[in-house]
Formats: sequence, C-alpha cells, structure tokens
Amino acid sequence: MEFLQQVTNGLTIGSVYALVAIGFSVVYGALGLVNFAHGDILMAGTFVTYGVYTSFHLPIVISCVIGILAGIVIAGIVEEVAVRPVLKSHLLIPMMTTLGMGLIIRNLVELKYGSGTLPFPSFAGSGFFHIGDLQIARAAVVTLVVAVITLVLFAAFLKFTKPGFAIRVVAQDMTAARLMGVPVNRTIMAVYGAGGALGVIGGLLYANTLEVVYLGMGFPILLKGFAAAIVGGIGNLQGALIGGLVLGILEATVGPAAGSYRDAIAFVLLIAILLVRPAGLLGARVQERV
Amino acid sequence: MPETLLRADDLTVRYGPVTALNGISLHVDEGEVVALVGANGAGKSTLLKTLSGLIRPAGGSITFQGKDLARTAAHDIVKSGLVHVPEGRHVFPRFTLKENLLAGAFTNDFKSAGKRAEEIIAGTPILARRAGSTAGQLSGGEQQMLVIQRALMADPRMIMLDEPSMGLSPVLADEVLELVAQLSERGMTVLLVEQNALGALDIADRVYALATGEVLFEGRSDDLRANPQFADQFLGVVSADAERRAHEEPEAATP
Repeated sequence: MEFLQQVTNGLTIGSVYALVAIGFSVVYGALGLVNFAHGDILMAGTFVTYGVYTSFHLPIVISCVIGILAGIVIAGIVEEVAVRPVLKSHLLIPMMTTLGMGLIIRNLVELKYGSGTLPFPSFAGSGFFHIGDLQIARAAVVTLVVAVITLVLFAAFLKFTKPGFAIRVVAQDMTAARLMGVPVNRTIMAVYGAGGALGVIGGLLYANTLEVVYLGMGFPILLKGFAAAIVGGIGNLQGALIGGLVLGILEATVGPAAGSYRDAIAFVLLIAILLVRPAGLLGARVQERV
Repeated sequence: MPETLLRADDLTVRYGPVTALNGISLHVDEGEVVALVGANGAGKSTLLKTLSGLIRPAGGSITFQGKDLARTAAHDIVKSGLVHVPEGRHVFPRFTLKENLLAGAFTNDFKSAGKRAEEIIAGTPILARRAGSTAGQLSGGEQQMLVIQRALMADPRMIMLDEPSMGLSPVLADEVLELVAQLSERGMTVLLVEQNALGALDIADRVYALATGEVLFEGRSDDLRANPQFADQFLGVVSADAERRAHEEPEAATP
C-alpha cells in the first residue's frame, strides 16, 4: 500500500514534469533548439500570477490565466529577441542567447520580488481524498486533472487545428513550409508561446503543490523537465509525457529510502534507461537537422 | 497577345561578396512553358528562390500579375498564385501522402482539401499504390510526383519547378516531364529549371540560358538548338554546323 501511495505521489509531480517537458519538446521538435530560458519563463509567469493575486486581489483562477498569458508573451519575446536573429547560426548560439534571456528574466523578477521564498495561494484547497487506505491530497488531484486536461487539449490543438498543422509542417521542413504559404515566423513564435504556456501551467501546479513561489524554482523544474524530455525521446511529445511520469515515479519511490540522494538516484536510473535506449523511450532515432 | 504573368527586371542577388545573380531580366507569359538552362552555379536555383521570396534580391524588381513581389514574404507570394517546387523535393517525411497534399492547400480552401487530396491520390497511379505510406518512405520519383501535386493544391496560376527529374531513372524523368507537359496543356504557366536541357527544351516554348548569374541567351527553344555556340555550351550537343567548323579550325572547338 505504501508503494501505491508513492506511485500516486510520483504521478502527481511527474505530471508537472511532463508539462514542462512537453513545453521543452515542442520547441525542440519544431526547431531542433533547446530553450534554456524555459525554466525562468515558467518562474516569471508563476510570479505574475502571484503578483496580480496579491496586488489586485483577483480570483486565483483569473490570476493563473493572466500568469499563463504572461508566459506566452515572455516566451514570444524570448523568441523574437534571442532566437530569431540567430536561428541560422550554430545551435550553440541560440542556447547561449536563451540562457542569457533566462538570466535577464530572473534579474527582473528579483528586482521586484527579491530572492526570498513567498507563500503561494493554493488554488486546490487543502485536505485529502481517501480511496481505501490511499490518501491523496486535493492539490495532487487538481494537479493531475489539470495536467491531463492540458495535455489532451494541446494534443488536440496540434492534431486538429490549422495553427497546430502549421507547427507540424514547420517541424518537418521549414523551407517547404514557407513555400506552402505557411507563415513560418509567426508559427515559430506560436511554438515558443505554446511552450511558455505549458511551462507556466507546470510552474503554477508546482507552486500550488509546494504552496510557495521563489526565484530559483525555474532551475530544478527545468532540469527535471529537460531530463524527462530526453528520457522520453526529445522532440517526441508522448515521450515527454511518459518521461515526466517515469521521473516523478522514480523520485517518489526511491526518494524516501534515498534521503538527500533522491535526485542523484533518480538521475542514475535515468542514465541507466538512456544506456539501454540512447534515443529515449519513444525516440526512434536521432534525427539530423539540416 | 498573352498577358505577361511574371516579370523580373535587373535582378541582383549577392551572397556576401559573391554575386549570384547579376542583373537578370526575364518574363513569363500566361500559358507559356519557359525553361531555364545552364551549368551548376549558373544561378538557376537562386533565381527561382528569389522569385518565390526565399531570397531577398539586393536590387531589381519582380512583378507577378502586376503585383510587386520583391518585398513580399514567401508565404504571401504563394497566396498570389505563384508556387515553387524546390530542388531536392522537400516532402514532409513524417506526414502521409494525404497530409502532404493538405499542406499544399494551406493558403487555399483548407476544409475541402481533404477530399480533393484523396481524389488526387486515387487518380495518380504512382501515388495510389503507396497511399498508406509516409512521404519519407517513398522513392525519389514518387516523392517528385507528390510534391508537384502538392504545389497544385494551392490552385496556382504559375508553377516553378526546380530540377524535377534530378536523381530519377530515365523512365521516371520522362514521366515527370510528361506531367509538366500535361499541366501546360491544361493551361498552367510553367517556369522549369532542368539540367536535362534537351528534355526541357522539348516541352518549353522559350528558354533562358544562364551562366555565372547572367542571361546569355534568350529565345525560342528551336533557336537555342539551332545556335551552334549556345547549343554546344548549354545542351551538351555539338550542332552539325559546329562540328563542321571544328574540322576546319580545330582551335575553334576548344571551349
């Protein structure tokens, strides 16, 4: 029973990692680029939610929506300023520029809110659900439900809408996409915006679970999301989902026994997975981008 | 007198210090098939990329149906009815054939495109037998047929084809050129870049011969065939005339 409890906890945190990982993967899948500002974008969006909630006393759900919109805008700015001008450069360049944008975002948030830990208003309420002997926090249920709904909606957006189709076209061949009349620049911006939105939703769920928001929250989530995306097969969205859940469950099950080595052991297990499947769980092969 | 659809004047394109197109002017009239011939590096592909908006010209003007294209984004050029099938085919490899065709209808009536795509696949034998595959699994010839059909999904007034027969077996290359001829019969205006210059000339009304970014010859296909100097340089055939002169003055035949 204890194990089942841990798996449930793992699924909850894992679904947060999955959201962040998918935000990562959608950018990588479309452009072959890693957005290192992702963690700071999701932190900033979460802070926007915190800010409008505490300053203007808006309902928490509306504050969350504003935070997500802010994430879209910030990610769009990162794309415009730090990615588009260097899109044709060696892929290390956009890595550095997005890393730099992340630092700028972090410093701006620090100017306003400092580097301390602030209480985040829980939107899930406290208390537990009981299923037999299983005890599940309300926050965990909300996290899981929101994550699943978000992922289903995002998958539907990619599959059934014209902008989603445009993203899939651009991901395969940017030149051909242009020649088909797809507005490639706008689509790339949409990709970053979507990544930002998914990241902020992940950040909000994370803050909601821990009931705190802090300047450095972006980095650990970024690291986990990145790891989840790689384990799942980077660029592959189902893979990112599975990678996130696997990472969450590994953490939750090895965590109690491993104490402060929790992250280390989880990552060792991830490395073991990559040794067996170098391209990730669902990555068929590593694609060269030209 | 047919209407001039596409007109480029004094087009100049530079890649850094290299001048790829040096003041090229050309025009394509409604319903014509115009061939561009020339060696590798002559600027044929650069010219097509400039006309379709992939490359910004450093100077000169492009008009299509009277509309200025030189400063128009590539995706808007497609909307105005000029499509470009690039060299190397550029299929969407993970998409099915139907999805590839759908992409071609991006600027068109996207909703009804699905049914139309199915009809095109069913009506094209070379594609019909691969209907269940993704485009990445197709052979070169199948991919070429697919990308031409994909371009037609936009209902263009004019299509530009870059080396459609490259890398194909002679039989398939003939089939592709045959398809181009059929398009022309149905009234499509075509600008065709081909290394297989003789094949291109067979279906072209007029031809521009390019070398190092300049137009060296412009005229009817028959005129190029009959021109001893250019037939040798651009068609890889020595006209009877040139052969006779070569016998008389051996040094004249040295390129």
